[in-house]
Amino acid sequence: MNNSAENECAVEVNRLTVAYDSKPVLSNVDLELPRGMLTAVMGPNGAGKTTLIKAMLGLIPTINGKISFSEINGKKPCIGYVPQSESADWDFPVSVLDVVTMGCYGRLGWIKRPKREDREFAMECLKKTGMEEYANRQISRLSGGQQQRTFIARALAQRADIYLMDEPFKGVDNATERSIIDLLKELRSEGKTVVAVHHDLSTVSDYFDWVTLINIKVVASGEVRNVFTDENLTRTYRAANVGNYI
Amino acid sequence: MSASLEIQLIAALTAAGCAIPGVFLLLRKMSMVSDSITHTILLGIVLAFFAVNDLSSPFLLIGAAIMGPITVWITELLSKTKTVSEDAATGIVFPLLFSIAVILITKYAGTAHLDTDSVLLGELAFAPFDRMVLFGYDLGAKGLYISGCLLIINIVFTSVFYKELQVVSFDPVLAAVMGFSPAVVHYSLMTAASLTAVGAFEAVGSVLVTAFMIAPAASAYLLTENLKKMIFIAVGIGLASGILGYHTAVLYDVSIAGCMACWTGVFFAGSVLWNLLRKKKKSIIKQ
Repeated sequence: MNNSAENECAVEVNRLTVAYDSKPVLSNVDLELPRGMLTAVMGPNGAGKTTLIKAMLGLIPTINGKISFSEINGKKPCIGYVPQSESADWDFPVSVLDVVTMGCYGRLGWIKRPKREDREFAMECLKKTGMEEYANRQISRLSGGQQQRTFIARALAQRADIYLMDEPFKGVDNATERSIIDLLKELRSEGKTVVAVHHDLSTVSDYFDWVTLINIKVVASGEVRNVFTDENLTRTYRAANVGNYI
Repeated sequence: MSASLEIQLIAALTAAGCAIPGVFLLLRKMSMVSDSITHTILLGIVLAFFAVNDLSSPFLLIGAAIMGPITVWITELLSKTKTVSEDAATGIVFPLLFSIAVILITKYAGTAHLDTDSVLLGELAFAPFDRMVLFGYDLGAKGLYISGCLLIINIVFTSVFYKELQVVSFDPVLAAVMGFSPAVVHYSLMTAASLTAVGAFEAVGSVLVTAFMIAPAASAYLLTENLKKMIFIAVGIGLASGILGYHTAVLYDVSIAGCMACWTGVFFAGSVLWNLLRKKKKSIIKQ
Protein backbone atom coordinates (compact mmCIF):
# COMPACT_ATOMS: atom_id res chain seq x y z
CA MET A 1 0.00 0.00 0.00
CA ASN A 2 1.32 3.48 -0.74
CA ASN A 3 1.56 6.23 1.78
CA SER A 4 -0.18 8.98 -0.12
CA ALA A 5 -2.94 8.90 2.46
CA GLU A 6 -1.08 11.21 4.77
CA ASN A 7 -0.71 14.02 2.28
CA GLU A 8 -3.53 13.53 -0.22
CA CYS A 9 -7.09 13.73 0.79
CA ALA A 10 -9.84 13.30 -1.80
CA VAL A 11 -12.72 14.59 0.21
CA GLU A 12 -13.03 16.32 3.53
CA VAL A 13 -16.22 16.39 5.57
CA ASN A 14 -16.46 18.91 8.40
CA ARG A 15 -19.06 18.81 11.17
CA LEU A 16 -21.74 17.47 8.86
CA THR A 17 -25.21 17.16 10.36
CA VAL A 18 -28.24 15.89 8.47
CA ALA A 19 -31.72 15.30 9.83
CA TYR A 20 -34.96 13.94 8.43
CA ASP A 21 -38.02 15.38 10.15
CA SER A 22 -35.84 16.78 12.96
CA LYS A 23 -34.43 13.31 13.72
CA PRO A 24 -30.65 13.36 13.26
CA VAL A 25 -29.37 10.85 10.72
CA LEU A 26 -25.80 12.12 10.75
CA SER A 27 -24.43 14.16 13.59
CA ASN A 28 -21.21 16.18 13.55
CA VAL A 29 -19.46 13.95 11.07
CA ASP A 30 -15.78 14.78 10.53
CA LEU A 31 -14.00 12.74 7.89
CA GLU A 32 -11.03 12.82 5.59
CA LEU A 33 -11.00 10.17 2.92
CA PRO A 34 -7.75 9.42 1.08
CA ARG A 35 -7.22 9.82 -2.63
CA GLY A 36 -6.43 6.82 -4.80
CA MET A 37 -7.76 4.26 -2.35
CA LEU A 38 -10.75 2.04 -1.85
CA THR A 39 -12.73 3.13 1.18
CA ALA A 40 -15.56 1.13 2.75
CA VAL A 41 -18.29 2.97 4.62
CA MET A 42 -19.77 0.57 7.15
CA GLY A 43 -22.34 0.64 9.89
CA PRO A 44 -25.64 -0.91 10.93
CA ASN A 45 -28.96 -0.21 9.20
CA GLY A 46 -30.05 3.37 9.77
CA ALA A 47 -26.49 4.48 10.57
CA GLY A 48 -26.60 7.10 7.82
CA LYS A 49 -24.34 5.45 5.23
CA THR A 50 -26.51 6.26 2.21
CA THR A 51 -27.21 9.69 3.68
CA LEU A 52 -23.48 10.35 3.92
CA ILE A 53 -23.01 9.46 0.24
CA LYS A 54 -26.00 11.58 -0.79
CA ALA A 55 -24.81 14.53 1.29
CA MET A 56 -21.39 14.28 -0.37
CA LEU A 57 -23.13 14.47 -3.73
CA GLY A 58 -25.12 17.49 -2.62
CA LEU A 59 -28.39 15.66 -3.17
CA ILE A 60 -29.94 16.34 0.23
CA PRO A 61 -30.18 19.44 2.37
CA THR A 62 -27.78 19.51 5.31
CA ILE A 63 -28.36 21.31 8.58
CA ASN A 64 -24.75 22.08 9.15
CA GLY A 65 -21.31 21.24 7.89
CA LYS A 66 -19.09 21.45 4.88
CA ILE A 67 -18.01 18.96 2.27
CA SER A 68 -15.01 19.80 0.15
CA PHE A 69 -13.49 17.77 -2.62
CA SER A 70 -9.81 18.45 -3.23
CA GLU A 71 -8.95 19.81 -6.62
CA ILE A 72 -7.15 17.56 -9.05
CA ASN A 73 -4.63 19.37 -11.27
CA GLY A 74 -6.31 22.63 -10.36
CA LYS A 75 -9.74 21.46 -11.41
CA LYS A 76 -12.81 20.37 -9.52
CA PRO A 77 -12.86 16.57 -9.56
CA CYS A 78 -15.52 14.78 -11.56
CA ILE A 79 -17.68 12.64 -9.32
CA GLY A 80 -19.27 9.39 -10.42
CA TYR A 81 -22.17 7.81 -8.62
CA VAL A 82 -23.48 4.28 -8.42
CA PRO A 83 -26.86 4.32 -6.68
CA GLN A 84 -28.55 1.28 -5.21
CA SER A 85 -29.95 -0.46 -8.23
CA GLU A 86 -33.56 -0.26 -7.03
CA SER A 87 -33.45 3.53 -7.25
CA ALA A 88 -33.89 3.44 -11.04
CA ASP A 89 -36.98 2.51 -13.07
CA TRP A 90 -35.99 -0.84 -14.61
CA ASP A 91 -39.12 -0.97 -16.78
CA PHE A 92 -37.99 2.14 -18.63
CA PRO A 93 -37.80 1.62 -22.42
CA VAL A 94 -34.03 1.84 -22.82
CA SER A 95 -31.33 -0.70 -23.64
CA VAL A 96 -28.29 -1.52 -21.53
CA LEU A 97 -26.10 0.49 -23.91
CA ASP A 98 -28.47 3.49 -23.61
CA VAL A 99 -28.09 3.41 -19.83
CA VAL A 100 -24.30 3.23 -19.99
CA THR A 101 -24.23 6.05 -22.55
CA MET A 102 -26.05 8.19 -19.96
CA GLY A 103 -22.74 8.18 -18.09
CA CYS A 104 -21.39 10.51 -20.80
CA TYR A 105 -24.24 13.03 -20.44
CA GLY A 106 -22.55 14.99 -17.65
CA ARG A 107 -19.55 15.71 -19.88
CA LEU A 108 -21.81 16.73 -22.75
CA GLY A 109 -23.80 19.25 -20.74
CA TRP A 110 -27.25 20.52 -21.71
CA ILE A 111 -28.71 19.93 -25.18
CA LYS A 112 -25.64 18.33 -26.86
CA ARG A 113 -26.34 14.81 -28.04
CA PRO A 114 -24.10 11.80 -27.45
CA LYS A 115 -22.03 11.06 -30.54
CA ARG A 116 -20.73 7.86 -32.04
CA GLU A 117 -17.54 8.01 -29.95
CA ASP A 118 -19.59 8.36 -26.77
CA ARG A 119 -21.49 5.19 -27.63
CA GLU A 120 -18.25 3.43 -28.52
CA PHE A 121 -16.79 4.45 -25.19
CA ALA A 122 -19.93 3.22 -23.44
CA MET A 123 -19.45 -0.09 -25.24
CA GLU A 124 -15.87 -0.30 -23.94
CA CYS A 125 -17.14 0.28 -20.41
CA LEU A 126 -19.66 -2.52 -20.94
CA LYS A 127 -16.85 -4.82 -22.05
CA LYS A 128 -14.93 -4.04 -18.87
CA THR A 129 -17.86 -5.23 -16.80
CA GLY A 130 -18.36 -8.29 -18.99
CA MET A 131 -21.76 -7.05 -20.15
CA GLU A 132 -21.13 -6.44 -23.86
CA GLU A 133 -23.32 -9.32 -25.01
CA TYR A 134 -26.29 -7.64 -23.29
CA ALA A 135 -25.71 -4.22 -24.87
CA ASN A 136 -28.96 -4.21 -26.84
CA ARG A 137 -31.08 -5.93 -24.23
CA GLN A 138 -33.91 -3.99 -22.65
CA ILE A 139 -33.05 -3.36 -19.02
CA SER A 140 -36.13 -5.04 -17.54
CA ARG A 141 -34.73 -8.38 -18.71
CA LEU A 142 -31.58 -8.21 -16.58
CA SER A 143 -30.83 -10.12 -13.40
CA GLY A 144 -29.92 -8.22 -10.23
CA GLY A 145 -26.20 -8.78 -10.81
CA GLN A 146 -26.45 -7.64 -14.42
CA GLN A 147 -28.28 -4.50 -13.31
CA GLN A 148 -25.49 -3.76 -10.86
CA ARG A 149 -22.82 -4.31 -13.53
CA THR A 150 -24.74 -2.01 -15.90
CA PHE A 151 -24.65 0.71 -13.26
CA ILE A 152 -20.93 0.19 -12.67
CA ALA A 153 -20.31 0.39 -16.43
CA ARG A 154 -22.29 3.64 -16.45
CA ALA A 155 -20.11 5.00 -13.63
CA LEU A 156 -17.01 4.06 -15.66
CA ALA A 157 -18.49 5.97 -18.60
CA GLN A 158 -18.64 9.04 -16.35
CA ARG A 159 -14.79 9.00 -16.35
CA ALA A 160 -14.89 10.24 -12.80
CA ASP A 161 -12.00 10.93 -10.45
CA ILE A 162 -13.98 9.93 -7.42
CA TYR A 163 -16.61 7.19 -7.38
CA LEU A 164 -19.26 7.10 -4.70
CA MET A 165 -21.06 3.75 -4.65
CA ASP A 166 -24.04 2.74 -2.58
CA GLU A 167 -23.74 -0.98 -1.91
CA PRO A 168 -22.17 -2.09 -5.20
CA PHE A 169 -22.21 -5.75 -4.07
CA LYS A 170 -25.85 -5.87 -3.08
CA GLY A 171 -27.75 -8.77 -4.63
CA VAL A 172 -24.89 -10.04 -6.80
CA ASP A 173 -23.47 -13.57 -6.93
CA ASN A 174 -19.90 -14.43 -5.97
CA ALA A 175 -18.52 -14.36 -9.51
CA THR A 176 -19.99 -10.90 -10.13
CA GLU A 177 -18.70 -9.68 -6.79
CA ARG A 178 -15.18 -10.82 -7.76
CA SER A 179 -15.36 -9.09 -11.13
CA ILE A 180 -16.65 -5.88 -9.53
CA ILE A 181 -13.87 -5.81 -6.95
CA ASP A 182 -11.28 -6.44 -9.69
CA LEU A 183 -12.68 -3.43 -11.52
CA LEU A 184 -12.52 -1.28 -8.39
CA LYS A 185 -8.89 -2.31 -7.89
CA GLU A 186 -8.19 -1.42 -11.49
CA LEU A 187 -9.70 2.02 -10.86
CA ARG A 188 -7.45 2.38 -7.85
CA SER A 189 -4.38 1.53 -9.95
CA GLU A 190 -5.41 4.37 -12.25
CA GLY A 191 -5.30 6.71 -9.25
CA LYS A 192 -9.07 6.94 -8.83
CA THR A 193 -10.76 7.17 -5.46
CA VAL A 194 -13.60 4.81 -4.61
CA VAL A 195 -15.90 5.21 -1.62
CA ALA A 196 -18.39 2.37 -1.27
CA VAL A 197 -21.08 1.52 1.24
CA HIS A 198 -20.32 -2.06 2.25
CA HIS A 199 -22.01 -4.65 4.45
CA ASP A 200 -19.98 -7.81 4.46
CA LEU A 201 -17.58 -7.74 7.40
CA SER A 202 -15.72 -10.82 6.16
CA THR A 203 -14.49 -9.25 2.93
CA VAL A 204 -13.44 -5.79 4.17
CA SER A 205 -9.77 -6.62 4.68
CA ASP A 206 -9.59 -8.28 1.25
CA TYR A 207 -11.33 -5.56 -0.70
CA PHE A 208 -10.61 -2.22 0.92
CA ASP A 209 -7.66 -0.10 2.05
CA TRP A 210 -9.53 2.24 4.28
CA VAL A 211 -12.67 1.86 6.35
CA THR A 212 -15.01 4.37 7.91
CA LEU A 213 -17.25 3.01 10.64
CA ILE A 214 -20.28 5.17 11.26
CA ASN A 215 -23.35 5.04 13.38
CA ILE A 216 -24.87 8.51 13.12
CA LYS A 217 -21.50 9.72 14.40
CA VAL A 218 -18.16 8.56 13.08
CA VAL A 219 -16.93 5.72 15.29
CA ALA A 220 -13.57 5.31 13.59
CA SER A 221 -11.99 6.00 10.23
CA GLY A 222 -8.59 4.97 8.95
CA GLU A 223 -6.57 2.19 7.38
CA VAL A 224 -8.32 -1.13 7.62
CA ARG A 225 -5.55 -2.82 9.62
CA ASN A 226 -5.71 -0.09 12.29
CA VAL A 227 -9.40 0.59 12.44
CA PHE A 228 -11.09 -2.71 11.66
CA THR A 229 -10.80 -4.06 15.20
CA ASP A 230 -13.22 -6.00 17.37
CA GLU A 231 -13.45 -3.10 19.74
CA ASN A 232 -14.41 -0.57 17.04
CA LEU A 233 -16.89 -2.99 15.48
CA THR A 234 -18.58 -3.56 18.81
CA ARG A 235 -18.84 0.16 19.34
CA THR A 236 -20.31 0.63 15.86
CA TYR A 237 -22.85 -2.13 15.81
CA ARG A 238 -23.79 -2.48 19.45
CA ALA A 239 -25.35 0.95 19.65
CA ALA A 240 -27.81 0.04 16.93
CA ASN A 241 -28.82 -3.15 18.67
CA VAL A 242 -28.26 -5.21 15.55
CA GLY A 243 -26.83 -8.32 17.12
CA ASN A 244 -26.70 -10.49 14.02
CA TYR A 245 -23.92 -8.44 12.47
CA ILE A 246 -21.30 -9.86 14.78
CA MET B 1 -59.39 23.33 -48.10
CA SER B 2 -62.71 21.68 -47.36
CA ALA B 3 -64.19 21.86 -43.87
CA SER B 4 -64.04 18.11 -43.39
CA LEU B 5 -60.37 17.97 -44.31
CA GLU B 6 -59.69 20.86 -41.93
CA ILE B 7 -61.43 19.09 -39.06
CA GLN B 8 -59.53 15.87 -39.73
CA LEU B 9 -56.24 17.71 -39.82
CA ILE B 10 -56.95 19.59 -36.59
CA ALA B 11 -58.01 16.35 -34.91
CA ALA B 12 -54.94 14.46 -36.08
CA LEU B 13 -52.46 17.24 -35.24
CA THR B 14 -54.02 17.74 -31.80
CA ALA B 15 -53.92 14.07 -30.92
CA ALA B 16 -50.34 13.74 -32.20
CA GLY B 17 -49.25 16.81 -30.22
CA CYS B 18 -50.78 15.42 -27.02
CA ALA B 19 -49.07 12.05 -27.45
CA ILE B 20 -45.55 13.49 -27.14
CA PRO B 21 -45.68 14.97 -23.62
CA GLY B 22 -47.93 12.01 -22.78
CA VAL B 23 -45.05 9.59 -23.31
CA PHE B 24 -42.98 11.28 -20.63
CA LEU B 25 -45.91 11.75 -18.25
CA LEU B 26 -46.61 8.02 -18.54
CA LEU B 27 -42.97 7.03 -18.03
CA ARG B 28 -42.70 9.33 -15.03
CA LYS B 29 -45.81 7.64 -13.61
CA MET B 30 -47.67 10.94 -13.71
CA SER B 31 -50.48 10.02 -16.08
CA MET B 32 -53.17 11.54 -13.91
CA VAL B 33 -51.29 14.82 -13.86
CA SER B 34 -52.56 15.29 -17.40
CA ASP B 35 -56.11 15.04 -16.10
CA SER B 36 -55.28 17.47 -13.34
CA ILE B 37 -53.70 20.16 -15.49
CA THR B 38 -56.26 19.93 -18.28
CA HIS B 39 -58.82 20.99 -15.70
CA THR B 40 -56.93 23.63 -13.76
CA ILE B 41 -55.62 25.47 -16.83
CA LEU B 42 -59.20 26.65 -17.11
CA LEU B 43 -58.61 28.72 -13.98
CA GLY B 44 -55.53 30.18 -15.65
CA ILE B 45 -57.60 31.12 -18.68
CA VAL B 46 -60.39 32.64 -16.61
CA LEU B 47 -58.01 34.70 -14.46
CA ALA B 48 -56.13 35.90 -17.53
CA PHE B 49 -59.46 36.74 -19.17
CA PHE B 50 -60.44 38.90 -16.21
CA ALA B 51 -57.10 40.66 -16.41
CA VAL B 52 -57.23 41.50 -20.13
CA ASN B 53 -60.97 41.17 -20.88
CA ASP B 54 -60.29 39.78 -24.35
CA LEU B 55 -61.03 36.21 -25.32
CA SER B 56 -58.61 36.16 -28.23
CA SER B 57 -55.67 37.54 -26.26
CA PRO B 58 -52.53 35.39 -26.18
CA PHE B 59 -52.35 36.15 -22.44
CA LEU B 60 -55.05 33.53 -22.00
CA LEU B 61 -52.62 30.95 -23.30
CA ILE B 62 -49.90 32.23 -21.01
CA GLY B 63 -52.24 32.18 -18.01
CA ALA B 64 -53.08 28.58 -18.80
CA ALA B 65 -49.47 27.59 -19.33
CA ILE B 66 -48.53 29.01 -15.93
CA MET B 67 -51.45 27.40 -14.11
CA GLY B 68 -50.39 23.86 -15.10
CA PRO B 69 -47.02 23.90 -13.33
CA ILE B 70 -48.59 25.78 -10.40
CA THR B 71 -51.12 22.95 -10.00
CA VAL B 72 -48.33 20.38 -9.97
CA TRP B 73 -46.38 22.47 -7.50
CA ILE B 74 -49.32 22.85 -5.08
CA THR B 75 -50.04 19.13 -5.36
CA GLU B 76 -46.42 18.29 -4.54
CA LEU B 77 -46.43 20.73 -1.61
CA LEU B 78 -49.53 19.07 -0.21
CA SER B 79 -48.20 15.54 -0.62
CA LYS B 80 -44.86 16.56 0.95
CA THR B 81 -46.65 17.48 4.17
CA LYS B 82 -47.39 13.73 4.36
CA THR B 83 -50.92 14.49 5.51
CA VAL B 84 -52.27 12.75 2.40
CA SER B 85 -50.85 10.41 -0.23
CA GLU B 86 -49.81 11.71 -3.63
CA ASP B 87 -52.89 10.51 -5.50
CA ALA B 88 -55.16 11.99 -2.84
CA ALA B 89 -53.30 15.29 -3.11
CA THR B 90 -54.03 15.30 -6.86
CA GLY B 91 -57.67 14.47 -6.13
CA ILE B 92 -57.96 17.38 -3.74
CA VAL B 93 -56.07 20.12 -5.55
CA PHE B 94 -57.35 19.95 -9.09
CA PRO B 95 -61.10 19.73 -8.43
CA LEU B 96 -60.71 22.67 -6.06
CA LEU B 97 -58.96 24.88 -8.63
CA PHE B 98 -61.29 23.69 -11.38
CA SER B 99 -64.40 24.41 -9.36
CA ILE B 100 -63.16 27.92 -8.64
CA ALA B 101 -62.83 28.40 -12.39
CA VAL B 102 -66.33 27.05 -13.04
CA ILE B 103 -67.82 29.34 -10.38
CA LEU B 104 -65.97 32.36 -11.79
CA ILE B 105 -67.19 31.61 -15.31
CA THR B 106 -70.83 31.17 -14.34
CA LYS B 107 -70.78 34.22 -12.07
CA TYR B 108 -68.86 36.79 -14.07
CA ALA B 109 -68.25 35.62 -17.58
CA GLY B 110 -71.75 34.51 -18.42
CA THR B 111 -72.13 37.08 -21.16
CA ALA B 112 -68.76 36.39 -22.75
CA HIS B 113 -68.29 33.46 -25.07
CA LEU B 114 -66.58 31.35 -22.46
CA ASP B 115 -69.12 28.69 -21.68
CA THR B 116 -68.50 25.56 -19.69
CA ASP B 117 -69.89 23.16 -22.29
CA SER B 118 -67.43 24.08 -24.98
CA VAL B 119 -64.59 23.98 -22.48
CA LEU B 120 -65.52 20.52 -21.23
CA LEU B 121 -66.37 18.91 -24.53
CA GLY B 122 -64.72 21.02 -27.21
CA GLU B 123 -66.31 22.05 -30.48
CA LEU B 124 -64.29 20.45 -33.21
CA ALA B 125 -67.23 20.47 -35.61
CA PHE B 126 -67.33 24.28 -35.46
CA ALA B 127 -63.56 24.69 -35.76
CA PRO B 128 -63.70 25.54 -39.51
CA PHE B 129 -65.90 28.58 -38.77
CA ASP B 130 -63.13 30.25 -36.81
CA ARG B 131 -60.87 31.56 -39.57
CA MET B 132 -57.34 32.86 -39.55
CA VAL B 133 -57.62 36.10 -41.49
CA LEU B 134 -54.55 38.18 -42.26
CA PHE B 135 -54.77 41.41 -44.34
CA GLY B 136 -58.15 40.31 -45.59
CA TYR B 137 -56.92 36.91 -46.79
CA ASP B 138 -58.46 33.73 -45.42
CA LEU B 139 -55.56 31.50 -44.43
CA GLY B 140 -57.57 28.53 -43.18
CA ALA B 141 -59.07 27.52 -39.87
CA LYS B 142 -57.44 29.01 -36.78
CA GLY B 143 -57.49 25.59 -35.12
CA LEU B 144 -55.11 24.31 -37.77
CA TYR B 145 -52.53 26.86 -36.77
CA ILE B 146 -53.00 26.26 -33.06
CA SER B 147 -52.77 22.49 -33.30
CA GLY B 148 -49.89 22.69 -35.80
CA CYS B 149 -47.94 25.08 -33.58
CA LEU B 150 -48.41 22.90 -30.53
CA LEU B 151 -47.24 19.82 -32.40
CA ILE B 152 -44.16 21.72 -33.56
CA ILE B 153 -43.48 23.08 -30.04
CA ASN B 154 -43.65 19.55 -28.67
CA ILE B 155 -41.42 18.12 -31.39
CA VAL B 156 -38.84 20.85 -30.87
CA PHE B 157 -38.98 20.60 -27.07
CA THR B 158 -38.59 16.81 -27.08
CA SER B 159 -35.85 16.69 -29.67
CA VAL B 160 -33.79 19.47 -28.07
CA PHE B 161 -34.14 18.12 -24.53
CA TYR B 162 -34.45 14.43 -25.41
CA LYS B 163 -31.35 13.44 -23.48
CA GLU B 164 -32.38 15.45 -20.41
CA LEU B 165 -35.96 14.14 -20.45
CA GLN B 166 -34.65 10.59 -20.78
CA VAL B 167 -32.11 10.72 -17.95
CA VAL B 168 -34.32 12.68 -15.55
CA SER B 169 -37.21 10.26 -16.11
CA PHE B 170 -35.06 7.14 -15.80
CA ASP B 171 -32.78 8.10 -12.93
CA PRO B 172 -33.36 11.56 -11.43
CA VAL B 173 -30.58 11.07 -8.88
CA LEU B 174 -27.94 10.47 -11.54
CA ALA B 175 -29.33 13.42 -13.51
CA ALA B 176 -28.94 15.67 -10.46
CA VAL B 177 -25.37 14.45 -9.87
CA MET B 178 -24.50 15.26 -13.48
CA GLY B 179 -25.91 18.77 -13.21
CA PHE B 180 -29.26 18.30 -14.96
CA SER B 181 -31.69 19.75 -12.46
CA PRO B 182 -34.64 17.35 -12.29
CA ALA B 183 -36.86 20.22 -11.13
CA VAL B 184 -36.08 22.35 -14.20
CA VAL B 185 -36.76 19.45 -16.57
CA HIS B 186 -39.87 18.44 -14.61
CA TYR B 187 -41.44 21.90 -14.69
CA SER B 188 -40.50 22.46 -18.34
CA LEU B 189 -42.33 19.26 -19.18
CA MET B 190 -45.32 20.41 -17.10
CA THR B 191 -45.34 23.72 -18.99
CA ALA B 192 -45.19 21.95 -22.35
CA ALA B 193 -48.00 19.63 -21.27
CA SER B 194 -50.11 22.58 -20.08
CA LEU B 195 -49.64 24.51 -23.33
CA THR B 196 -50.57 21.41 -25.27
CA ALA B 197 -53.62 20.89 -23.10
CA VAL B 198 -54.83 24.46 -23.74
CA GLY B 199 -54.59 24.05 -27.47
CA ALA B 200 -56.10 20.60 -27.32
CA PHE B 201 -59.08 21.49 -25.24
CA GLU B 202 -60.18 24.14 -27.71
CA ALA B 203 -60.58 21.24 -30.09
CA VAL B 204 -61.57 18.25 -27.99
CA GLY B 205 -62.49 19.67 -24.58
CA SER B 206 -60.69 19.30 -21.28
CA VAL B 207 -62.29 16.00 -20.30
CA LEU B 208 -60.85 14.06 -23.21
CA VAL B 209 -57.36 15.53 -23.42
CA THR B 210 -56.16 12.89 -20.97
CA ALA B 211 -57.19 10.19 -23.44
CA PHE B 212 -54.99 11.72 -26.12
CA MET B 213 -52.05 12.21 -23.81
CA ILE B 214 -52.02 8.84 -22.09
CA ALA B 215 -53.69 6.17 -24.24
CA PRO B 216 -51.34 6.49 -27.27
CA ALA B 217 -48.31 6.55 -24.95
CA ALA B 218 -49.56 3.56 -22.97
CA SER B 219 -50.18 1.62 -26.21
CA ALA B 220 -46.74 2.47 -27.56
CA TYR B 221 -45.17 1.38 -24.25
CA LEU B 222 -46.59 -2.09 -24.82
CA LEU B 223 -45.41 -2.25 -28.44
CA THR B 224 -41.76 -1.30 -28.13
CA GLU B 225 -38.84 -1.27 -25.72
CA ASN B 226 -37.16 1.72 -27.31
CA LEU B 227 -37.93 5.25 -26.16
CA LYS B 228 -37.58 6.91 -29.58
CA LYS B 229 -39.78 4.30 -31.24
CA MET B 230 -42.25 4.70 -28.40
CA ILE B 231 -42.60 8.42 -29.16
CA PHE B 232 -43.06 7.79 -32.90
CA ILE B 233 -45.61 5.04 -32.36
CA ALA B 234 -47.55 7.20 -29.89
CA VAL B 235 -47.65 10.06 -32.40
CA GLY B 236 -48.76 7.64 -35.13
CA ILE B 237 -51.58 6.32 -32.96
CA GLY B 238 -52.58 9.92 -32.20
CA LEU B 239 -52.74 10.81 -35.90
CA ALA B 240 -54.68 7.66 -36.76
CA SER B 241 -57.15 8.16 -33.90
CA GLY B 242 -57.83 11.71 -35.09
CA ILE B 243 -58.64 10.68 -38.65
CA LEU B 244 -60.49 7.46 -37.81
CA GLY B 245 -62.40 9.29 -35.08
CA TYR B 246 -63.62 11.90 -37.51
CA HIS B 247 -64.92 9.35 -40.04
CA THR B 248 -66.59 7.26 -37.35
CA ALA B 249 -68.29 10.38 -35.99
CA VAL B 250 -69.53 11.37 -39.46
CA LEU B 251 -70.75 7.84 -40.13
CA TYR B 252 -72.84 7.65 -36.95
CA ASP B 253 -73.46 11.41 -36.58
CA VAL B 254 -71.98 11.56 -33.05
CA SER B 255 -69.31 13.58 -31.19
CA ILE B 256 -66.00 13.76 -33.05
CA ALA B 257 -63.91 14.13 -29.90
CA GLY B 258 -65.71 11.19 -28.32
CA CYS B 259 -65.00 8.96 -31.32
CA MET B 260 -61.36 10.02 -31.39
CA ALA B 261 -60.96 9.12 -27.72
CA CYS B 262 -62.68 5.78 -28.38
CA TRP B 263 -60.17 5.01 -31.11
CA THR B 264 -57.26 5.63 -28.74
CA GLY B 265 -58.96 3.04 -26.51
CA VAL B 266 -59.25 0.60 -29.41
CA PHE B 267 -55.54 1.03 -30.18
CA PHE B 268 -54.73 0.41 -26.54
CA ALA B 269 -56.82 -2.78 -26.44
CA GLY B 270 -55.02 -3.97 -29.57
CA SER B 271 -51.65 -3.25 -27.98
CA VAL B 272 -52.55 -5.21 -24.85
CA LEU B 273 -53.57 -8.15 -27.01
CA TRP B 274 -50.40 -7.95 -29.10
CA ASN B 275 -48.29 -7.75 -25.96
CA LEU B 276 -49.97 -10.81 -24.42
CA LEU B 277 -49.61 -12.85 -27.62
CA ARG B 278 -45.95 -11.93 -27.91
CA LYS B 279 -45.28 -12.97 -24.32
CA LYS B 280 -47.08 -16.27 -24.90
CA LYS B 281 -45.08 -16.91 -28.06
CA LYS B 282 -41.86 -16.24 -26.17
CA SER B 283 -42.73 -18.60 -23.35
CA ILE B 284 -43.58 -21.32 -25.89
CA ILE B 285 -40.19 -20.85 -27.56
CA LYS B 286 -38.48 -21.02 -24.17
CA GLN B 287 -40.22 -24.31 -23.37
